[in-house]
Amino acid sequence: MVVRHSFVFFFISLMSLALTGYALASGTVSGTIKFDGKAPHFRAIPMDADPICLSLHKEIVLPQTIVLGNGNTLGNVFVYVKSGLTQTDFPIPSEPIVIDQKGCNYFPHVLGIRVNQKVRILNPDGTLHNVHAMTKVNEEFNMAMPQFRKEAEKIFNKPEFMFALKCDVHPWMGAWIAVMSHPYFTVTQTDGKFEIKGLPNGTYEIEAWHEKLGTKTATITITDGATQTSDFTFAAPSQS
Amino acid sequence: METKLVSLRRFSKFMCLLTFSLIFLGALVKSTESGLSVPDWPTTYGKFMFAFPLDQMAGGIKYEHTHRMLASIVGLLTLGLCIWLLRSSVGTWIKRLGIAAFVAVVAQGVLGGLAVRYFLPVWLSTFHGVLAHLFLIILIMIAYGLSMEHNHRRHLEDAAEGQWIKMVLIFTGMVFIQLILGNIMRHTQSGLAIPDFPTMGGSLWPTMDQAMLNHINAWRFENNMDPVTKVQVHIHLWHRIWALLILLKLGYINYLAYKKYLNKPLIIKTLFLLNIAVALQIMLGISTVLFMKEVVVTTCHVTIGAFVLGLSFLLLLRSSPCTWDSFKKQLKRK
Ligand SMILES: [Cu+2]
Repeated sequence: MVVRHSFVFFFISLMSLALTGYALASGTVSGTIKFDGKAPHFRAIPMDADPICLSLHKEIVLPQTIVLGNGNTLGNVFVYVKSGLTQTDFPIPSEPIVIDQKGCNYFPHVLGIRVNQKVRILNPDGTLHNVHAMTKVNEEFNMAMPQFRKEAEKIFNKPEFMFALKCDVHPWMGAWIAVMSHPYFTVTQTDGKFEIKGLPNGTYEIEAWHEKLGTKTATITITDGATQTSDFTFAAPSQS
Repeated sequence: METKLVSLRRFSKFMCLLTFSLIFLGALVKSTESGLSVPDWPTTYGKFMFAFPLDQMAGGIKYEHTHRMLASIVGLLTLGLCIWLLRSSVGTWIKRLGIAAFVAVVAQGVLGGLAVRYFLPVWLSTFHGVLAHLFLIILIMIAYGLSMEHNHRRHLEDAAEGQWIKMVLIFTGMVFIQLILGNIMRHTQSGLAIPDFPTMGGSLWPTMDQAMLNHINAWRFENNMDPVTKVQVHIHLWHRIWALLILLKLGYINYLAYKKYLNKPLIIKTLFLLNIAVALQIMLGISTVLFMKEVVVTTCHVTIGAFVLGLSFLLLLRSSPCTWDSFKKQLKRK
């Protein structure tokens, strides 16, 4: 009995050690993204073009291009590992990515999906949208979503960095999609914070992308599964 | 026989007016960026065009769908005009123009459809915009050929001198080139590539350097627009320069008319209207920039552009002899 117990104990200890070791070997890159400059002058979106859209909002709706938090932190920035990964094959998540067209706007506004991952596009508004993927690498489509079509599914089968998703019925509707071949990416919320976990030891190029402000890159090295910090600041285009 | 010709005459003029409305609607589609709001063609959301319920024409669909419906009507009426001309006793060249109009309208419809199917490639959309004006010119020619005025002038030797005709011909060509430039500008999203007037990128003289581009793009960022490239700035600049050249040319034409043709009311009347249209057009062009491509202003700018072309062409017709042979002779004569 005792012998068997100690054997089990030994085995569990060994397993947890191995797991901790594995966890230790995978590092994290994190940081905060800020905006430096004056935010654009936004005009309210004229939703009266479609009475249904108009009825869904009590207050004015502003474009989602520059979304700032306290202390000028910047949301809707796509942060990802641009190069340095040695592994090329990653399992495709079985969970679909959801794009919601709620209130005649896309949620999320910037998103990453995986090659061959299912994308569910929802239409809860009871109005007519068309979903126009302005791809260059994947096959371009302009799909009708009449009010009775509550859901549609799409798959992008090639990696493609950033294309716009548009609705031409409601010209203000726009989202940005990156079709990624690996899982090391994230999008900032208004607090501007990002974290990419599970990176094996190595040197990586990290890129932050913003639809209006362009890109910023940094090179980081992960050793012994440590956390590396990499902050980015995007400046507004200047007159000079 | 005569009564039939009267109706045909009226019908041809009506077609010109209808085409102006169609150009207005087409411009509205572009101004509201709703060219792809109906993703399928020739059907509308899977339905036969005229069976699409009107209460579903939300957002951009109202512009695109109305444009398609009016375009189909114009197409059918053009077929009617063509058949009518072929069966009437009018001259061969008008019959040929009738066929040309029909070919143009079919090509225009197919181009529009292809533009939708291929997600509005720049060159296709541009060509669609330009062909619209060619179609208009054909219709004006038909209407003029059928008109009382033309019929009356056939027996007079009232054509203007070759130099004048050449001048108006060049002017009409310049206006047409301006419409092409405008179309390219619109479909390459360069309408606000220079967002200020009378300054250009912050200075009175466009330096066309990086500093100017930075200045423009900073302005565009502040107004939540995408940055532009130097190519877009060039396209925009040429539209402005060309407008200035057209204005100078028109000034010279006025001078010439004042010197020589005060006794020709037909020419003076048309030139007067042309002057008003050009003045209005320049004001609308400036307003398009100052009001940041406000939909109605921009759409009117495109439509009045078609008017300017139509009037220049009418001036050309009214100045020229009534047959092609004498037209050529007149041009050669000094
Ligand atoms: Cu929509």
